Amino acid sequence: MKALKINPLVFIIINVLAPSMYIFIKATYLLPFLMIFSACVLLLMGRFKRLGISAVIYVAMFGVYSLFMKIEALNFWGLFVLILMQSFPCAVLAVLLVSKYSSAELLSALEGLRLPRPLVVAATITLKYVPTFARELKFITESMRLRGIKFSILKPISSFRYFIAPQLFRCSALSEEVTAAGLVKGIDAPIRRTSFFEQKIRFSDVALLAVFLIGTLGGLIWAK
Amino acid sequence: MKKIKIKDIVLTALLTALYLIFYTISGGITFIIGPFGHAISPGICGFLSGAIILFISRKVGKFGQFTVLTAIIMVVFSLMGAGYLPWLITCMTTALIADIIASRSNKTPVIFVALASGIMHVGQAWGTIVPSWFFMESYRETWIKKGQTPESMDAMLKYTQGTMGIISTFIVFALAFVGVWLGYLILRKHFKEGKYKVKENE
Amino acid sequence: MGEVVIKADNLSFNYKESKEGIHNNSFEIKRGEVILLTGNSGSGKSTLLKCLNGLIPEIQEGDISGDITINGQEYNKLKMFELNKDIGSVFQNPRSQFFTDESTAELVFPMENYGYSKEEMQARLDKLIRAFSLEKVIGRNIFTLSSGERQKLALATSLTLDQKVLLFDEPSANLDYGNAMKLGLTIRELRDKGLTIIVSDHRFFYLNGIIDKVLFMDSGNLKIYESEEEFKNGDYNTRSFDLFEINTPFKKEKETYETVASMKDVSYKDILKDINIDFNKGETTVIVGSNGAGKTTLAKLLCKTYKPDKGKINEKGLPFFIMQDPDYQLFGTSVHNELTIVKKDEERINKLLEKFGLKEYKHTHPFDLSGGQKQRLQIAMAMLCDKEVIIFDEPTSGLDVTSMQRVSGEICSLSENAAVLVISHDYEFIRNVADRIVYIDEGTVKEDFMLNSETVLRLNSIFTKMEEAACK
Repeated sequence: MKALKINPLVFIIINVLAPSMYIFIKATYLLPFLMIFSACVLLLMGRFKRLGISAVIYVAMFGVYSLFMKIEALNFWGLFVLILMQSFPCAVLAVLLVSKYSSAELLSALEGLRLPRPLVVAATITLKYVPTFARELKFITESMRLRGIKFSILKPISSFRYFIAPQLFRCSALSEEVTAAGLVKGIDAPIRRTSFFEQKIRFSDVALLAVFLIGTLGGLIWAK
Repeated sequence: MKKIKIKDIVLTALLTALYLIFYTISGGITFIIGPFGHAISPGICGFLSGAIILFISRKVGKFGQFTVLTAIIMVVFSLMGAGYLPWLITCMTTALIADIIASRSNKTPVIFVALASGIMHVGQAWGTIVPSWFFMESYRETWIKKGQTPESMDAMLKYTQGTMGIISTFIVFALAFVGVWLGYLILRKHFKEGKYKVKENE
Repeated sequence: MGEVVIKADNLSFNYKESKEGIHNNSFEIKRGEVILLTGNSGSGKSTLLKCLNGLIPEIQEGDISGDITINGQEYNKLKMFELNKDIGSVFQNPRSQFFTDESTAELVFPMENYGYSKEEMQARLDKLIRAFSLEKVIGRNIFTLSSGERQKLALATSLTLDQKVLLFDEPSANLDYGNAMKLGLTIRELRDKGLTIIVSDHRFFYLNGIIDKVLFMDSGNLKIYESEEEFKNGDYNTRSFDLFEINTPFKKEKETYETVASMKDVSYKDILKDINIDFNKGETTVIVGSNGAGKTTLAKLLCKTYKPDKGKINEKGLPFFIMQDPDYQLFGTSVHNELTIVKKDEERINKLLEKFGLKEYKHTHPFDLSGGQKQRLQIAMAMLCDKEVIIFDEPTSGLDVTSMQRVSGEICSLSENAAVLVISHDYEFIRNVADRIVYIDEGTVKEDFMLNSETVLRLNSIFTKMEEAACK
């Protein structure tokens, strides 16, 4: 069977809604439903290895939880494991989302939601600079080492200052260049933005979303 | 009151990138451990990123700065499959309150900025706790069926929920508040504020 | 030569906070011309460029007067986004000019902003890929691109809306010699296709023979040279047109040297192989080689950032390393504080502040300094640190001729008490500072010689080789 390509927007919508459903629907129904649902998604997308790994992790978590709930002193921690399990199916989908789609595809999916233009542009910038800054942290710690500026537990404030202050001022200097580069590329053009990476909503996307909604709404009615 | 411009939005977007790095550092794998992580990490994050919040208030200093910051974070988290409705709502609401408190100018007293940051981070924490409570409630009966007494079950739930509630409200608020003060201690020399004010012609 | 594309009439701009403005500039630019806009730092060159691309008055506060038109339309009646359909801009900093982390996403970004349909974007994309031979660049993470590829991508991105006028802001600042020469060729091709090109730069060797008009800025006043010839015969120091014709005196060879650091048979990954170099006090060694040849890796080995896989590095303590981008290296709350982090020696600090003309900026935040001032602050730090080995990575990118010469002098005096190691592809600067040249190619030391009137031809042939490799 050919692996299905699913519009990232489907995942985003499901993950925005699913955890909130715990307010209305019994977890004893919703959690298993979400587990089966995300397992099916992995199957449809041909991610068999990931499905296997996820299953092992889930079973292990369930084992720990059941064990802890049997021993009174550990009951409290059992509940914490349960909370982790609660978000497991969504986490599976989230990892799938991040690993399968590029940030350009993800952003264009959001544009399908007609978000205000400055917000889309701002998120584009943020998404680009998170990895950029993370890479540059190395340069900063490196040049601190070469200048003989050490992290010292005795002087936490000044150590932290050397670390963070230059980064803040660099952002401020950078923002002028980025604004200039952005304006000449039309980031403030009063035209509705289009997206090169936008995928048409297909029948399979609608179907998947429908299954999710019927499943949760069904839970609302039957599993009261 | 000055209107927020594209330049301010770009600067806020860059600082948000920095903020998210601190978020990741403080929460580690928050988005994998879900609601619980979201309940704990805002405090640590607020503590570490106080300097960023103060920096925004000094360099942007316009109404909407915290709303934009939060909105970008929401978009990024949603893209990673880690945004959810109650969280989006509480975060955006408290960001708006933070803007009302501390976004009048770039000279807002530090205490207001600290207050704003505290409220914002409590908003981040709260949005995740509420659904968790409902989640836990629905397991109450199951455990009782399995032999737990209703009394011990209630005590345990209260304890768990209470712990999460207290952590998320008081501790998160206090940490974020102190974080801004720490940020002030770090940055006042840079901004030549407080006792480091440079007199003209010195 | 066709009709007038851009016309300025008594254009003036005054900043709110600074005196550097431009005064009553009038000029005409015709279709298909290559214009060089030059002048020293602070001359108003970048102000004029910002007027041309509309960033003034869009993001810069100040008073603008006079007229400027494009294709007969007045600038002030055009919105920024309308202007950019006619004018493409290429900025110099690769860090801030890309908006995404993927090359395809970057190329379509402006078209998305202008609401192109998917089909239009695909068609335009195909055209750009063919025009700039981007086959190998497309679909890649921008971070993994070489500097030449990045330049190509930036150029293609600025033409996605099929702009007919192209502005370059200091394109040579981040390019090695070979890639700069290649850019010269590209500009020639674009001109032949009918584009109008304006290059703002203080280095212009790569434009030799293709300039139609020079706009020379001096303290905000514009002087126009109607041809390259006229500019070359003018008063301004234009010898950097033909690099190899420079007449800089060579430094005298010293009698004895004290070796303060050495690399013996050093290898690192597959980047460097069996490197043997001694670094001597009193000597300025310039490392040359194309981008990616392993020059910076060599410096990082000396800094103990990396450990050699094989071989030995002998040195006492860490060197003082001045990175290309000073912004990673400044930690202080003020210029004075920055120096005290190096050493708390009030007397010497004051002397250095005086020497480097930074006294009036004593309380200024290091990030508020200009590029040249940051550079001087870093050299002052190097002087204060009393280390035996001092490394500079591309210290002159973005400096004008005058500042470059000043830095050269400072580096020479620094080398009296230390072994100075400079990584550079700025030929003119190398001729000013080098005692010795080390050429690295394919991970090995290909040449290592003292620079004098006899060996200068060897240096020249290294540069020619790098150019051939890039333009192939």
